Amino acid sequence: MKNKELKNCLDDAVSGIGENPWLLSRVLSRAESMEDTPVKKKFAFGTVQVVLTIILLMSVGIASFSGLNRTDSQTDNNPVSLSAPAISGMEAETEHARLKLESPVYDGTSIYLNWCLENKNPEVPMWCWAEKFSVNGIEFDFIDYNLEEEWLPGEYTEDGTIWHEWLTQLPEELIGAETIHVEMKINTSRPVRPWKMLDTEDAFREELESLIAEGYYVIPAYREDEETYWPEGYFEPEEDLNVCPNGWTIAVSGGPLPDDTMGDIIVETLDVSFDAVKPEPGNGLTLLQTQDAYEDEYCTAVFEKAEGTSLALYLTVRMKPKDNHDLSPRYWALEWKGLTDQKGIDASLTPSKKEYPSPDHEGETVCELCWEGITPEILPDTIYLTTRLKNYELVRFPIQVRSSGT
Amino acid sequence: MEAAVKAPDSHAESTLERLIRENQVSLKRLCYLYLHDQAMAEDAVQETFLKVYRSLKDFRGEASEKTYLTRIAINTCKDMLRSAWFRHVDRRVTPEELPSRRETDPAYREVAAAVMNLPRKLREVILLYYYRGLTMEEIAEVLEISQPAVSGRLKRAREKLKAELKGESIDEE
Repeated sequence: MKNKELKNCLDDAVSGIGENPWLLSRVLSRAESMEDTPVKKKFAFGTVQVVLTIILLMSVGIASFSGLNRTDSQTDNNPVSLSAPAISGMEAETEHARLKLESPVYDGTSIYLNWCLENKNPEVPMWCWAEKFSVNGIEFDFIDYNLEEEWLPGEYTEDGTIWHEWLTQLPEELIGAETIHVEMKINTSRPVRPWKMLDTEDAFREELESLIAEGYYVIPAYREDEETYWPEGYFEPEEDLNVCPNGWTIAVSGGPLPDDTMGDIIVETLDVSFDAVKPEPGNGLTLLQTQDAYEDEYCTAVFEKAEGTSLALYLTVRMKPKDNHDLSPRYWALEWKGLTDQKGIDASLTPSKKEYPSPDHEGETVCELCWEGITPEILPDTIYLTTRLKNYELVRFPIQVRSSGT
Repeated sequence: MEAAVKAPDSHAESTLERLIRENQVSLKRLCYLYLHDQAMAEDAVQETFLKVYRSLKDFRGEASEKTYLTRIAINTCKDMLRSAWFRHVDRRVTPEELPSRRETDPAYREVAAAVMNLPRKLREVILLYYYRGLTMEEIAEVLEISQPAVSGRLKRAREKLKAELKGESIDEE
């Protein structure tokens, strides 16, 4: 198939997609609606994110610090408040690795974990992945969570430690639980054979086979191009690819590699667990003020949840279309005066987590939104939740974070 | 050599109007081929032109108009793909669900579906090279990767498409 043919082929296959005659007016009207917010100070948007992250880490650090200070007076199975998460079995050790949970925080909806994994023999590579993570007996599916880490000599800290942070929302059935019990199993693996790093542009397969024949465990050099190793799931599995025990796929053409490509692997399991309780309003939980209902030409909206914690901001909105309007809210964002990007243009923060019906859905919708790392302390008195409806109308809901002047 | 985007402040609206007139449909189709969702593609294009309009003053004309618009559109699409909702939805398409005219050759739909179902990194190079008509150098600029990386991905994408389309090969040039 020729170059031009492929283009025509693609064009024809999506020929039902045409012009939107209102696009220009929509863009200009959106641009205009953003211009009425005065710009007070210019921040690089990256800087805003870094600051938010630092604030989050500081707040979590404080929680951790107070938690660690108070563990002496806590029994292992006695849950305490958010500012002092209970600690039970927070450390685990095997022959080759040591795991320590530093600052777990639970806010009633999400959980934040920070752990340190030490490779006791930093001359040997180590991989870790979560074998099990359960909250109140409910296991998480790890496909969706990034819990894999790799420790390569010379590429990580000299003392052999890996730090890992994880912040995620709990499954729906666990949200709001007064107390949670978390159990984790972290697996580590390390090669038995001597190892070598392979990072060659040319003759990848020949080099690979030669090193394998010499009895080496060949370490992947992660590149985004050419033939190399890819994390599993990066590409859809192909018949001639080789899935390794440590979760890597060797994307090398020319048929399968020898069966003993990786040789023996030592796998060890580290078990840790802890309990934590949901914070109370005023003590780690801020209830934001909203109107009973917001109403405009197209819809009415009611906030079913508007909370800020030391981990995130949570908003749940139920929207009802009026007069058979084809309503499908999407592109939710949070805005406030003075939030700008590096060009001084008003910035809006899109939610880090959102659950709502697909854009094709019609009728009443419930949208669950979450902004991780956005805590009440860093917000001004008033913020705005904005969304665009399927008809491209912009809807903006003011939310009071705290009474002015307090 | 294509014209670069040049927009004095007072002419921003007319520049935007021209850019929309000339690029709206092809960009929307590109976004659809990338995102697999018409409503999202519509939004991505609106978002793209909004970004373009708001940054016209700062644009120095270092990139061609096509590359500039494509980069913004692709980055907007990537932002959308990062959303949790997208990650949890099976985005594979079938030839039958493509928004084609009735007379479209079914074989065309099959090819389009095969392209759309490629892994993202392979899909984007195919779309930029064959559909958007960018050069390797321009693709490298849009995706912020090296030219050998573009070439490597194109090679893998062609191989994968050939296997998917039962031997129908895609020419390199």
